[in-house]
Amino acid sequence: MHRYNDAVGKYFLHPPLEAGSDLRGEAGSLAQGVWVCVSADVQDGILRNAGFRAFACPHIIAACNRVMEHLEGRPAGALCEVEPEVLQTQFDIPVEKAGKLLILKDALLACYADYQAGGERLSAS
Amino acid sequence: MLVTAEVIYLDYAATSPVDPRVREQMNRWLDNRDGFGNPSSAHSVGTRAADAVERAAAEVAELVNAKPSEIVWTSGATESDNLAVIGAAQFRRIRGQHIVTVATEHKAVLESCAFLETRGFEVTLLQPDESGLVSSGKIAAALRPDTVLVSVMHANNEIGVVQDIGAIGKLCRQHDVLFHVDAAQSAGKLPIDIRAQQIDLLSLNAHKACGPQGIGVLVLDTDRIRRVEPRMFGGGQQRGLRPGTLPVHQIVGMGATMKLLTDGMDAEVRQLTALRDHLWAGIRDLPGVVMNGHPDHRLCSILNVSVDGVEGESLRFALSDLAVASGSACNSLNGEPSYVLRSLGRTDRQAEASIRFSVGRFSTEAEADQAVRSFVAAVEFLQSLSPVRIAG
Repeated sequence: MHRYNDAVGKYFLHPPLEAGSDLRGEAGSLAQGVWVCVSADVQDGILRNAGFRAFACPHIIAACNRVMEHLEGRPAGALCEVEPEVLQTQFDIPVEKAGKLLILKDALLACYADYQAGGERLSAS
Repeated sequence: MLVTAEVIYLDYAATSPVDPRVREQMNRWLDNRDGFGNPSSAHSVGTRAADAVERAAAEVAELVNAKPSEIVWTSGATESDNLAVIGAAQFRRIRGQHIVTVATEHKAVLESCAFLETRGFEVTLLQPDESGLVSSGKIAAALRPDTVLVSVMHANNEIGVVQDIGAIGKLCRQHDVLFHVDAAQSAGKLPIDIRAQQIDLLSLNAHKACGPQGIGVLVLDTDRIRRVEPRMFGGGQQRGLRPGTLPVHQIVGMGATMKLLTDGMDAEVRQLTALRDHLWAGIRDLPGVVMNGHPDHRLCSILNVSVDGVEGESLRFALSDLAVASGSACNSLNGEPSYVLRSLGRTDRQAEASIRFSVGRFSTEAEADQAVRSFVAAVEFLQSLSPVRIAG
């Protein structure tokens, strides 16, 4: 069994279960063993109520939770700026799990793509 | 109640705490009150140790209806399995080089068989049905004129499924094929009678039954097989079958362990069955929770469940207040999903998200209640977080 640092313990529990619904992006699958769905509201280009659902190991769930905390109140472009290497360091994620972080990154990018695709709609509302 | 550093221990199938009564018997040899000699020594100090070994052998033998002279002391069930499978097959290789076993056997048997394959043997690996059972008919169909050994464990260490050892023993005897049974999990929880069940070689250990680690036996029905080819050499102890100075305190501990099982089996089985069923009653209604193994033909002490929609590692992490085994219990070093559960048709995801609860002599209802609360909370949390839709 992996050992986990304190940050994993802190962020694994109590993730935001109520998330916004303006934007949505997902990556991975059950078959891959990692599946991350990110969603958020956006108001005037600012992210609100960022949340996620995940079928993933404790490291990735904790990383998801930390990312959602980071995104709250930031411009939508922040979805593209999350660096897996920083998360890997913060949560002491073993190198063999680095690929799982890329799935989180892909989900965030998909969420940003949704923002771009729906830009006019969101602006109109 | 056994709570260590806020962790509730429900992993008796992995190992168990030593019963204080056993510990006392062992201590008498560790602090020299009863002696300290080498049982092979001819002087009185050695003779005293030899007498203790003989008494322990009688205690082990009584549990399984063997003779004390049929007990071969080993370091545990893994060594016993190695000695039984490799030793018996090699000893009888002139009669044939075919072995029959089951895909869900312990690795101590499977890897012994794999070793024999490198020495020219053929191994037929039978797949159990989806509940983990292997019928004697399936074994009969696998027997060949050159089959020398059948090895089937009594109760599976991961799912607790109990095989019909008596029927398989009868079949093997009819075909004059040696029959080996790994009873590491079942000793003291199920009746074992090597003569009635026609078991030729039986592996036992002490530490799954509140005895010490590092000691086991191979029981040989000497009416059927007087020797196996040894795996260790030097010293000539135990008729050369397993040489080396006998560890008297360990042996005394195993004898005391088996004596407690003989004397208290009925009551302990009732206690363990009640705890196991209590655990199942507390979690069975959770969506996506399924029992692994046969609902009836299973050990009184083991409950193995899979949980749909949650990731295995996160499930284990969320259950960090419980010392329970996971679907990768026997493979924790490589993280692979359980080969036993996969043999039953479980997917990798289901195998990974499986938990084995195993109760023992010192387990309590309060611990079972806490385990249920922890398990329910963990599953509900992870399922609420999961994008996977859970049926039911």
